[in-house]
Amino acid sequence: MLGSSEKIERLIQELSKMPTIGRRTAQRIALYLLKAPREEVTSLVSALVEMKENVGYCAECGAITESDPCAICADPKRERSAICVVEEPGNVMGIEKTGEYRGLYHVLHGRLSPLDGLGPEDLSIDRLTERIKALGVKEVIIATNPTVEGEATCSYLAQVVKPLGVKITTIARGVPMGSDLDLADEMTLARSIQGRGEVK
Amino acid sequence: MSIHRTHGIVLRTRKFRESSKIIVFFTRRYGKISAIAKGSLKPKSKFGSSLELFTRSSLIFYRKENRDLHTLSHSEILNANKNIGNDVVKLAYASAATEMVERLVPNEEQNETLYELLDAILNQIGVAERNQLELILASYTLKMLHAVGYGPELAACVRCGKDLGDEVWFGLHSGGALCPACHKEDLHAMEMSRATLELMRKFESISMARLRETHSADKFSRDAFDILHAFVRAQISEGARIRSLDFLERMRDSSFA
Repeated sequence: MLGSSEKIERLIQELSKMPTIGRRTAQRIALYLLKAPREEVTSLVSALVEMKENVGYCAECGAITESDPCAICADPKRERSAICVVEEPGNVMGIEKTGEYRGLYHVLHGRLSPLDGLGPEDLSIDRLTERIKALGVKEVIIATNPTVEGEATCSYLAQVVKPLGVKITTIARGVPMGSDLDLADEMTLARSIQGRGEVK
Repeated sequence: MSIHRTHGIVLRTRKFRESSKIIVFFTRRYGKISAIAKGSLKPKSKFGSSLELFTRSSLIFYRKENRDLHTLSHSEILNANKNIGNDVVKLAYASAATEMVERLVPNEEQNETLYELLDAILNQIGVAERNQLELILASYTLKMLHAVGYGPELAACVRCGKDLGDEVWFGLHSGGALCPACHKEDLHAMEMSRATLELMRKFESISMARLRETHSADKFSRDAFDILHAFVRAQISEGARIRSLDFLERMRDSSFA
């Protein structure tokens, strides 16, 4: 190929397979890597291989981990009476950062989405019910995203978990900290009123 | 670049980069458009929940000529259709209603009738009982097909024009009802009952709200539902799928809802 090479073309094609990377961005990355020092490229390759060989999903909760079970599931100090259900592994990191929660997690790896063709069989729901029974869980905290599909997933999960006789809660929805009530829309305010809590 | 105001219903959203979303709207004045809402995933975003699926909002956007992606500058909720998210079954029916529009309609073709119809079906799904959803989605599908120019012929045989008797077929490639003599000409003809044909004719003549009050779901509404959706699938390009319709069929065949 004039002005290029087959090897660069191959790299562009591989990079273009990644989410949010189009052909033009892939070309920019490929040309950057061509110019970069050899050590930088070697370090990137070894980081990719190491990640692929050593990182996976916890067989218990589905979170990202280098050991199986993950550090949270293996920690005897974590409360085993509560499971917090989230859509994606990244959500676990977000909740952990708060330092407010000491129970276990369960990652669904998605949400119910007719538009994307994702049904209950595509999510880790059977494993969730197995864990609730096996661990003797008393409270399931559903922390799906506050979107229409996240809410529908939440109501579906509540329907599945209810017969197991555990307490089902959701994380609070509504006005974010530091914002102004005047600027909140009707849906956000409605959810804040519905999920209001007693002042402690 | 010019500034435009209209009302629009959210058909689909997808994440773009770290904190933005690309939204496909069906708007009153411009038909189907895509717009980027920068920073809309941030908790304190000015867009709030106005960009959630099925929400009808008033919009202000910057339109770039000869571009498919515009920039949303403001949106304010007119109707959040909030009952849909409380129930996965309603979510599936509402998704099918919006996805059919997304697949069948080209970009930026104004169609106010379709806009009103989409608004009406989402309202109806919000207030309907679960067992009425199949009937009203079938009725909506036929009205939508007429609104986008794919309306099937149901008054007489679409091929020979003769009156229809008790034996009727629906020709997916012919585009309407077929008599016994003509159905062999269409390799994709589906047999249907006279009662199903009468129900489809009723779909054309009465509103979805009225239908919900006067009719209940039965075998014929199920048949109408299946035939009309097979017809919709026949109109989209080969290999393309309407995932929400596939989802509805899977849901019907399983016990999950």
